[in-house]
Amino acid sequence: MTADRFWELLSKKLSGEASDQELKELELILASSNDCKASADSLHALWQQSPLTENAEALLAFDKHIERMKKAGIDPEESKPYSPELISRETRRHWLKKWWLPVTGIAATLSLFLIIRNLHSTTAGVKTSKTGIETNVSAISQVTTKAGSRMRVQLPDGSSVWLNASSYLSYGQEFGRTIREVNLTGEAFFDVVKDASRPFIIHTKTIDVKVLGTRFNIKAYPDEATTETSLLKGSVEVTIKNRNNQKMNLKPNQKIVVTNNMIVAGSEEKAPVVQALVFLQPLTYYPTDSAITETAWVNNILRFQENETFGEVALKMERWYGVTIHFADEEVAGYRIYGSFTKETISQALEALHFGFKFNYKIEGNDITITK
Amino acid sequence: MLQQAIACFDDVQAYKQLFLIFHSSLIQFAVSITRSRQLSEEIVSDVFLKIWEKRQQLDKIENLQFYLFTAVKNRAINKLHEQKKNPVISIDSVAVEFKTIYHDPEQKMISAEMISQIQAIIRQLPPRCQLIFKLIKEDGLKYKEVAELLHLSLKTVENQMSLALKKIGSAINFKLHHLATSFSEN
Repeated sequence: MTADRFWELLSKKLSGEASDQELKELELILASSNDCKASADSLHALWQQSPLTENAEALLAFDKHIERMKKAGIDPEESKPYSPELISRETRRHWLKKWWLPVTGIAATLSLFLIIRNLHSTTAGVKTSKTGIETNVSAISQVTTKAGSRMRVQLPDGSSVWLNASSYLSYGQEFGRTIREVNLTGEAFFDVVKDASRPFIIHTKTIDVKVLGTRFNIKAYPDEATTETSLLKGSVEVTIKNRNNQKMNLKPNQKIVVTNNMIVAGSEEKAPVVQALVFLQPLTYYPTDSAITETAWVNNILRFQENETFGEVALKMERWYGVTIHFADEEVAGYRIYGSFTKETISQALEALHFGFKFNYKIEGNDITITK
Repeated sequence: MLQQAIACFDDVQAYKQLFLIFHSSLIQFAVSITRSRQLSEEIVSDVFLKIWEKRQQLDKIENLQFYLFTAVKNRAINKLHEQKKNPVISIDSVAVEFKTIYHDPEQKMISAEMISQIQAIIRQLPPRCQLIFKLIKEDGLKYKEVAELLHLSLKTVENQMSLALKKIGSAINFKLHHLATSFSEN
């Protein structure tokens, strides 16, 4: 036995690299030499010491790292609000203080999985949807939200969809085989997993949106005048059906607004052009907290801005609270109003608006009448 | 576990934990290639940025630790290429810091005096030997992984580890003998 062999065997043993045979060989050496035994014991003790927890430096480095990420347009902290919970008023209050428990995430994902599985069995074979969208996809799995409820859906490719109130999302059995296609009526926020080989396409009545992987919001309620696509990250291609399938690319922080009805354009001398109107706008930020207004609902905030009329706002409130709102006076429906609500009930919200803007209201069950 | 938490839940807390666990090891490793602390900070940050972007596929990586070290190495070499410097992993004159070699009062087997003796011995080891010893003892990498990372043969890694242990072990042995002798003299 050479001394070097002993050190080789000992280092292998301590590093967990020694074979059974080598361990036996080492045992023999240790049994025959007290010096070797003493060294082995001390080194073993040294090996057992756990690292000093000096985290201060690493913590500072992490803060710096997050700053760099934000500069690169990525904000991991921003992804916290989009937690995989069914969005509920109670939990919303908590996630500001503590990050949500993975367990609730699992539970929520599981329960949605069950919902989709159940729908799967009951709606198989249904090919046309009640909304009259031309379904390129045979509707196999579908999720519907009622007025007043919102939920998160996990798609088979791992992408997440947050479905706002009174919305409908469906996808076919062949989802993800070559492309990832879904149909949407209503409003949804998408966090699409990047996969360049399988484009992700969302069909709505007015537009198709094609993406590879990114975050964006689509609002396509049939009872609203426009369909909006707001892009937070990445890039999307929007195809406008009522405009000869014209394609437009969105950049981050842009939104595209397309009228749902065809508009007659052009001068009277020439043949009128009937097509959808398109507006490209920046995303709007709420002045007090500079949060993006278009996606506030994902964080359980009902938000409307100064350029919206009471009539438009009422539509949002109907869906948000699951109520019906009538205007006894058309002038009031044209008022410009703004506000932001999270935990307020419908009566608290109306009371707050009533103070700011001059109108009266009457609540009877789920029916609300607005008067001058 | 952390890996899964990040992959499945966009979990910023888990991501932070991962960063804190590997930060100092990866920085040291990057410094051994680039010789620049500042550049190394950037490299490690870049690698973690990629980790965040790829978080959904994270649970597919079998050996995350080795993956991180490899990513840091590749990134470091690319950065040096960009700066038109010749990237050679030849570790010399880079001091390696050890976080697991300190005096623990609870640890009866190794005295404070012995620890400072061990630290002195480690500082006298060739830099390459120091780094190999650190990657295996402290970062828990396998011989094979270290060989791959540093472009060395498995035999070289084995030999360098044996050398480190022999020097440290001999220093301890000397202390033990010395102690025994002085005890018998009294």
